[in-house]
Amino acid sequence: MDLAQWTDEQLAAAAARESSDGPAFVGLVDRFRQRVWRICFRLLGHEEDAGDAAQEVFLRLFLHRGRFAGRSSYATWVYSVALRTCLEMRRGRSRRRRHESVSAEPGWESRQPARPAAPPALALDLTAMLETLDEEDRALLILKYAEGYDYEELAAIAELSVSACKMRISRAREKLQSRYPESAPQNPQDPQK
Amino acid sequence: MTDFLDQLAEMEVGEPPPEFDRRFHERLNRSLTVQHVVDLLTGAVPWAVLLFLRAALGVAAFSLTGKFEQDRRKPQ
Repeated sequence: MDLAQWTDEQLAAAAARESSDGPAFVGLVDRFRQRVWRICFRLLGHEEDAGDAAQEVFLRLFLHRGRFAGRSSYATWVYSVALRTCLEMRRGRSRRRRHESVSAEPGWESRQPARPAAPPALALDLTAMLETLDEEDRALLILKYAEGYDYEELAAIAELSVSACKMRISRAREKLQSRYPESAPQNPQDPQK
Repeated sequence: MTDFLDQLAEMEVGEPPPEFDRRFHERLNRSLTVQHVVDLLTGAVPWAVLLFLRAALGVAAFSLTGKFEQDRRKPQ
């Protein structure tokens, strides 16, 4: 039995039959660890929180492993759980830190991912800009532009229609443009790109 | 704006921490332990309490009436 040859859905079905975290579930964790980690890190922007979130995602996948109905691909289901988990964590974190300044936290800068220097014309703090958006809009922009999901994938992950997804991303871009006009492109492109 | 947002893809994301799997399995084991304890408390313990309660009530009834439960059920 070579689990590496199995599709995600076959592994998920085998994991649902396992009474504990057997080889099929461990195989799924191996397969999705890196991608889930990337999503959590992108959305939470903090290594410790991303680790917590990614563990929570796999825990939920394990506890609800019998609930995957196959209406979408297993990968989409995993990313959807990751998105919801991160949004919940961010909401919880923002409630806790409502009166705190994140940037004032000692050592915060040193825990941020290495970032290439932005071109002078765009020397704005991209992270801070995205923080001004609604949580879900921010997540959609990050998944689209940082992780490269297309609208169909995003719609399935966020459980929206494709048109709603396009609309939200377009509006989020407009919001950023109106709040930070200096970040507008020199040659405006099709916003639905 | 598009160029600006494209910078998001250039932000590097490292590998998951090396202790990620160990921490996840510790968390999973804790969660399974809690789940099993809850199952025990909501399933087996009430069943055991009811079983022994019935015996205790039988003793109390015998002490008060001098008859066993099955004696009281016998048709006259």
